[in-house]
Amino acid sequence: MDVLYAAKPRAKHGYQHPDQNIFGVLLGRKSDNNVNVTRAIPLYHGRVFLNLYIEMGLTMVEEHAKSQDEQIVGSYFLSESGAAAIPSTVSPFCEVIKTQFPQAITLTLDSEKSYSSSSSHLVMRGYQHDKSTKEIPQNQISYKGEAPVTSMIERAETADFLDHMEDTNKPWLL
Amino acid sequence: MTKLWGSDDFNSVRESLKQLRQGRGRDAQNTVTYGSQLLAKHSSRIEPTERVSHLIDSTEQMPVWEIYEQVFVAALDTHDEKTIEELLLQIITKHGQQSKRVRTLMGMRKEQQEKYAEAEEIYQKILQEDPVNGIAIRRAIGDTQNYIRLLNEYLRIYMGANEAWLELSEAYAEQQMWKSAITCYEENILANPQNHHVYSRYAELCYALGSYDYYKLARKNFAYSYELFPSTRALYGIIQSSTALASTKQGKGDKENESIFEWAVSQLTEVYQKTQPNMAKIVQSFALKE
Repeated sequence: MDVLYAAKPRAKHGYQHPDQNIFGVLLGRKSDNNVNVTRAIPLYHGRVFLNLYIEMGLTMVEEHAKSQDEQIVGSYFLSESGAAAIPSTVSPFCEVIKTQFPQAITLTLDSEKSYSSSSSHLVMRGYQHDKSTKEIPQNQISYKGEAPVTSMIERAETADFLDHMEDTNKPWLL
Repeated sequence: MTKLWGSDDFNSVRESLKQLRQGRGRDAQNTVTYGSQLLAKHSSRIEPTERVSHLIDSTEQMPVWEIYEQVFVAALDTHDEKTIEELLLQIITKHGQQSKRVRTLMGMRKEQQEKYAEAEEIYQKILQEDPVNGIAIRRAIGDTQNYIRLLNEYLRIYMGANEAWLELSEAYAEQQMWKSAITCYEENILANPQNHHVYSRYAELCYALGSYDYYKLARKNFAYSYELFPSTRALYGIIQSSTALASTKQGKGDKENESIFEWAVSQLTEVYQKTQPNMAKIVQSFALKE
């Protein structure tokens, strides 16, 4: 699986809420055996995962994706603790996405490797959800167009669905 | 109830900081930006009491040193080194390094610098000296079970400690013990009956339980939150709760629920017509689908 990956919004989303768990979705298109990820849409930040806003956000993103001839092809999750595993509070949303797109993956940040002195890129781990959550071997995912970590972490606003609800002038989905 | 960070004047910023504290929000970047300015220019106008509360919530104007603490914690989140150093120096200069509250902040600074062993040492010393007042430390070191237990013990004695009820609600919610989280949060409603954030948060917790009765309770509390302060968040909450209600056996075909849903969609569409018209189209297509 080749995943052309839109890294920047994820990195900014994580930087915007460093003390909280964050969750977002990946939009893209399937092309033969490839999944081309075109965008990352930040959805949620918080200590506690509240399904109300994630459900609503997923519905809104789906509607928008259809109009762009795209679909939700995966999700990303960054934990407040830096742990790379997907917690049980997040798995149900990943599975819902998978029912619409069987090849959907969830990306999480391997913070230990990403922020080691020898790393210049964010290191992600990918998971697929079948009967259980399984890690995808690194050599099955390629990330194209990744910029170095230092240039991705900019102090620019990246509004997720929650931020957008507080102030609808903040651009989110479009 | 004002919009967060509506303007950068003294009253608006102070009110925004207070709302974040009561509504359990972090909004680290804005807290640092506006809070630092407030402290730099107007600290003498804020109530200068030296009392630092631990788990007793103050619904009065925040004492100045609680604002220092709030901005300091936000600066840790954003890794704003200059602000961290300045505020910590001012806090230590005023209160010394022996205060447990100050040492907790020093421990948080060590964590932010990833000096975890040094942070743990600070926290363990505080716990040994004063196990009851070290309740918050339990959370910092990830001892959630004892954190919940100690909070419950504390609240048996200090039943009016609103911030402790809030903390306990959050701790239960993190463990997905939604009914316990809701029960604790009801104390927060009693203490802040005019705060729209509180009703929205309560509604969010109710929704998480996922049954006809709790969806209805969620919709009701989002509606009351909207009545107190017409927020987009409350509108989205009404829409989603109504949608969830309609998906249940008892709620299917409920005309009242349908009309509430349509009203909320029309209100939200109106908001977007003024701010982002393209979003209005997405809301309408979502409504047609439901």
